[in-house]
Amino acid sequence: MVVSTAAPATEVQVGARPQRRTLRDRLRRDWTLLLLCLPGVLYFVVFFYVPLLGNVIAFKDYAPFLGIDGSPWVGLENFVMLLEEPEFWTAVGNTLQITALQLLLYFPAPIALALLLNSLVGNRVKRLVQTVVYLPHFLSWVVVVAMFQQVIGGAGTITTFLAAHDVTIGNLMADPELFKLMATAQVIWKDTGWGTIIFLAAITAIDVSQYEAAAIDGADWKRRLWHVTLPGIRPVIIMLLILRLGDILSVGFEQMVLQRDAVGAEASEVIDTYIYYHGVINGDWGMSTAAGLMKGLIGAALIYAANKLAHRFGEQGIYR
Amino acid sequence: MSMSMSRRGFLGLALAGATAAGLAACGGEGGGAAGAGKGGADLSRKLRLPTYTPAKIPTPDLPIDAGQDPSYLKYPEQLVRSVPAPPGDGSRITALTQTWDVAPPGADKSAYLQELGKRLNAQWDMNIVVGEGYPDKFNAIIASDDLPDLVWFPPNQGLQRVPELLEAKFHDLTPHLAGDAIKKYPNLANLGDVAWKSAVTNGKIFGVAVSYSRFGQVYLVNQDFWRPVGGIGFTGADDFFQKSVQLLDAKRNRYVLEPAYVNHVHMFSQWYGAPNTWRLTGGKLVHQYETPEYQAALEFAVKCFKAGLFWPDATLATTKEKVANGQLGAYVESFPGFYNDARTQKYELGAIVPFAATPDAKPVYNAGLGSVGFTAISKKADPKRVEMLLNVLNFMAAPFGTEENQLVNYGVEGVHFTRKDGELTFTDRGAAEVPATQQPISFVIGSPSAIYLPGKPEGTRLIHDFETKVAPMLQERVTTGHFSDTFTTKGGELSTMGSDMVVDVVTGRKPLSAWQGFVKKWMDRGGAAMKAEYEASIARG
Repeated sequence: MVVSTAAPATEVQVGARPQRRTLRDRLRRDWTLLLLCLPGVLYFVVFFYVPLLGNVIAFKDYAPFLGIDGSPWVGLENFVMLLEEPEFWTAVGNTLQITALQLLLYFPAPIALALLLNSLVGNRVKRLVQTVVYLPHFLSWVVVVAMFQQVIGGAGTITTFLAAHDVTIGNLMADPELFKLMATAQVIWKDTGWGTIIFLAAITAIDVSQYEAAAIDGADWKRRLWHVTLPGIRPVIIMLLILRLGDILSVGFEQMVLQRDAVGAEASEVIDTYIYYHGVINGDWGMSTAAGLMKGLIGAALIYAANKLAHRFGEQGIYR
Repeated sequence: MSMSMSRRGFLGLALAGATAAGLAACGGEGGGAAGAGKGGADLSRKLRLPTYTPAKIPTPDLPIDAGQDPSYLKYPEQLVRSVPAPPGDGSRITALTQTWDVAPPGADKSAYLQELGKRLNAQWDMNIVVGEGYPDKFNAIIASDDLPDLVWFPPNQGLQRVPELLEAKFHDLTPHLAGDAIKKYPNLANLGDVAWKSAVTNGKIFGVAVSYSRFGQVYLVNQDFWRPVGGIGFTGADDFFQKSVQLLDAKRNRYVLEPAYVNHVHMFSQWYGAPNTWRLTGGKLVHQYETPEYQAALEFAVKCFKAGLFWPDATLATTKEKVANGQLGAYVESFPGFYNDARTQKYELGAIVPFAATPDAKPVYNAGLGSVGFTAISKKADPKRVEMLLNVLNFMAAPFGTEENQLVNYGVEGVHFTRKDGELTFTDRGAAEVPATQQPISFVIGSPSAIYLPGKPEGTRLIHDFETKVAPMLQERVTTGHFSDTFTTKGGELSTMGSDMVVDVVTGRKPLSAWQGFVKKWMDRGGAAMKAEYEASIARG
C-alpha cells in the first residue's frame, strides 16, 4: 500500500501501519513550514556548506592565482608533511596539556561562581557583582596579557615591590615551566564571570518549591546544594562539557602569540600557532587547511563519542 | 536521530575549516594558464637596469658627497617643476595598496584627492587594506581576476609564486624602463639602482620600484641617559657593557636595553662585522648564522641578558615613553622610524654609530632594501595605457623640492598647509587629509628619501651626521635582485625559526652550545636550498 493517497485519517491515528505519504502530499501539507525554514537553510548552505567545499585544497598544492581548479592534486602530502614534523607533535602536546588544565581548573570555576552568586541575597549587590565579573570577557587578549605583565611581570608592580623589600620571585611571566598554568590562570580571570551566565540561567530555572520542600524536610544549605541545585543544572553542565570537547584542540591564538617571546616557542606553541607559523606565514594554505580539517574531524568525533557516552549514563546530552 | 548528528558533525567541520578555506572558496577560477610550474629563478639573465639620471632638485643645505640623503634645514624657497603637463588621460586609475594609518577620506570629501586628480588629469582611486592583511586581500583580488591598474608587491609579506604571477597577469616593463628607455620618465630615472634592483624578477623589470631609504636599522638613545658615563662613544663591546652595567638600576626600574632581543643581536652583529644576512666570497654564500661574528654577537647578547641589562619583560608597548623618562637606555628603530623620532620626540635623541666590538673587528652598517617592493601594471591595460600609467607614476615619484612632491606630501597651500618663515605647517584640514592619504600612496610609488624636518633643523643635522658616519661602512645586501623559490615558500617559516632560536638563546632557555645544531637544522629545512638558489642566480649575473 505504497500509493494510498486516500488513506483515511482514522487509520493513521490507530497506528496499525506506519503512515506512508508521497513526497507531493507532504509538500502540499508542509509547504508553509518549509518556506519558513528556507532562509535558515540558505544561510547554512551559503556560509557553511559551500565554503566547506574549499577544504578540498587540503589535498592540493594550492596557489591563489591558479584557483582551486587549477592547483595540482597532491594526495595526502599535506597531511604527511604535517604529521612528520616533530614540532607539530610538540604543539599537539602543549595543546593537550593546556586543554587538560583548562578542563580541570577553568571548567568548574564558572559553576562555583554561579553558585556563589546565586547565594547572594541582595539583588543590587548581586547585579553589581555580576556586571563586574562579566567585564574582563570584553577585554582583548593584548590587554589581559599586558595587565598580567604589569602586575606580576619582571617589571610588574608586585615584583618590583617585593624586590624593593629584598624578596625575589623572578619573572613569573617568563617562566616556561609555569606558562601553561599561567595561561590557564589568565583564561580563568578573563572568562569565569562570562561563563556563569548559562549556569545562572539554569539555576533560575530550578523550581523554587523543590528548595522549600527540601528545607521543610530539614535539609541545610549544603544538602540543598547537593540534592537540588547541582542535579538541577547537571544537564547544562554535561552539555557544555561535551561542547567544550568539540574544540578541545583550540586553546587560543592571540594569548599564545603574545607570550611567545617571553616563554619561548617550545612552551607556547599550540596547534593554532603552529599552523600560523608553519603554514599561513608561508602562504601554504594546503597544509593549513589539512591541519584545520584534522582538528575539525577530531572535534566532531569527540562530540559524537561524548554524546553517546552521556546517553549511556542516562543523560540528555546535546542531541538525541 | 542520525540525521541531526550528521548535520552537527558537518557543522563542526565547517567551523574548523572555514577560516583556512573560506578565502579560497570565495575565489573562482584563477585562470593562470601561463607560468604554471615552479622554478622562478631559472630565467635570470643579464639585464640593463634603468640608467640612473639625477633629477634637478634644489641644492641641499648639507653635503651629499658621501652618499647622504639630500638634507634641508629649511624648506626650499624655489621649487622645481618636474612634469610640464598633466600626465593622465582623464580616466580612472585604480591601485591596490595598504596603510598603517586610518582610512583616508573619499575623493568627494577630500580636497587633496580632488587637486591631485586635477593635476594628474586622472581620477586616482585606491583600494586600501587598512593595517594587517595585505596578502589576504591581494590573493583574493588575484583569484577574482578583477585586477586594478596598479598592484603593489611588498617584499616581505610572503606573497606566493610572485614570478609566475607576474608572468601571467602583469606587463613586462623592461622595454619601457631598461637602460636609457627610462629617460622618458625623468623622475623614475632618479630612483637609483638600489631601488630598481628589487623590482627585477626573472631578469625582467616587472614593476616600478617603490623607493625607500637605503639605510637600515638604527640604534637610538636618549642622550641624557648616557651622559653620566660620558655619552655614546664606545671603544668596544666591553666598554659598552661596563657603562651599561653602571647605568643599570633595577631597583628603580631603570634598564638599558629594550626587550627586542633579535634587533639588539643585529646591532651587536654590526659591531663584530657580521654579514648583511648573506656574505658572498668567490661566488659562495655564507649565511650570517654560520659566521663566528654573528655567534660572537649572540654571545654578547647572552652576557647582557645575564647581567639584567634588558627590560625584564619580553614585550614592552611603551618603549618611547620609558626612553623619554630615563627608564630605558637604547632601542632599535628602522630608518624612517629614526626620521620620525627625530621629528617628534622631545628628548635629546642620539644614534649609536657602529664601532669595533674587539680590536680586530671590522664594524659594518647594514643597508636596508632601498625600496618597499614594486608596483606592477596589470595586463588588462593596453600598451597606450601602460605609458600613461608610467607617466602618472613619474609625476608621483617627483623628488623633494619639486612642485609635484609638495602636492603629494603636503597638499595645497592655503588649504592643507601654510608657509611661514620658510617652514611648512599643516592646517587642521591638512593634518586630517594629507598624511592619511599620502601613506597608502607611498606604497604605490615613492620618491627618493630626503631629509627635511619642519622646524627641527637639529634633527636634520643629527640624521645627516649619522649618515655621514655610517656611509663608509655601509654593507649592501648581496641577494637584492636575486630570487630564490625556497625563500618565497619557506622564508617566513625559516625567519620565525631563526628569531625563536635567537630569543631562546639570549634569554638562556637554550645554551649557546645548541646554536650549531640549530644552524644545521635551519640549513636542512631550507637554508641550504636558499643558499644554492641564490648562488646559482648570482652566478648568472
